Amino acid sequence: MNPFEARTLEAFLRAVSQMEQPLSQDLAQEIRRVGRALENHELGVIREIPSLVERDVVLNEQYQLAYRSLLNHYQAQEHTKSLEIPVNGSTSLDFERQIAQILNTDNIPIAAKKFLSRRDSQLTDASKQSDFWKRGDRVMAIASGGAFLGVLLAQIPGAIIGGLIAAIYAWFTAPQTQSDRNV
Amino acid sequence: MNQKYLYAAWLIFTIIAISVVLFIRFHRTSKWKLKFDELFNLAFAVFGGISGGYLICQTWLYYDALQKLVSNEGLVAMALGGLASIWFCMRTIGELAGKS
Repeated sequence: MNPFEARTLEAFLRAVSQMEQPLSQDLAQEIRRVGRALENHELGVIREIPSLVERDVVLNEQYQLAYRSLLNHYQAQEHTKSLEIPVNGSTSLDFERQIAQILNTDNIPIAAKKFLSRRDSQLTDASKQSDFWKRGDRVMAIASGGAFLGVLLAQIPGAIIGGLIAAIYAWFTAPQTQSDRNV
Repeated sequence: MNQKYLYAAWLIFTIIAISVVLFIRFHRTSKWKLKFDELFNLAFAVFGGISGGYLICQTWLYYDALQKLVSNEGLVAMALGGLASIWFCMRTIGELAGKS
């Protein structure tokens, strides 16, 4: 799955999950066709999604909103991180299977909503963890410097005090993290 | 004799680390899954952490002798090296546990 396909699929799922009115019979059938194609790993079907959503005004509106928001998110990260849907490897295949299952259910919007809420909470947890380790790296580096400066100035007690002060300084002056921005 | 203790500590801490990683992963994703390369990384990260702990212990045990040889600056530098190894071991365990 390339980044464009991943973004299209995610925007589509987010749009469907926002649908409060039931989907028309025709549209639901077409979505299930997309689901079956995904199950068979026919990724070309993702390119049909933009024309598919145009059949419903509300769905199209939600899709455009979700797509723009994902695109902005992707550009804001300056391509340093991958998209929220993994684009390669076995995890990507697993996602395709899960999305195919959602698109084949009777109530597609509810299934999509549940899937996205689970996925969003996993991503938030992962982001918080990554921020914790990044902050920890900073504390280790600065506290080491503080401890070494402390030992030069006031022997062992200086090292302990210098290390502690530098660690506290590093922890509380860490740059704003991704999870801080999400709050 | 000392080497035997280190191997034993490696084995015990690796088993503890694997249990922690699997427990957290199961809690998050309901799957008991650890790939071979992850196991390999975990085992060596744990040994790195043990080496850090060993360095700190040795610095503490031979404090007086080492102080004469490397002075207080050297002792602090050794302890910082040990702490850094322990930190990177913890970081590897934390990252592996958080990976879905």
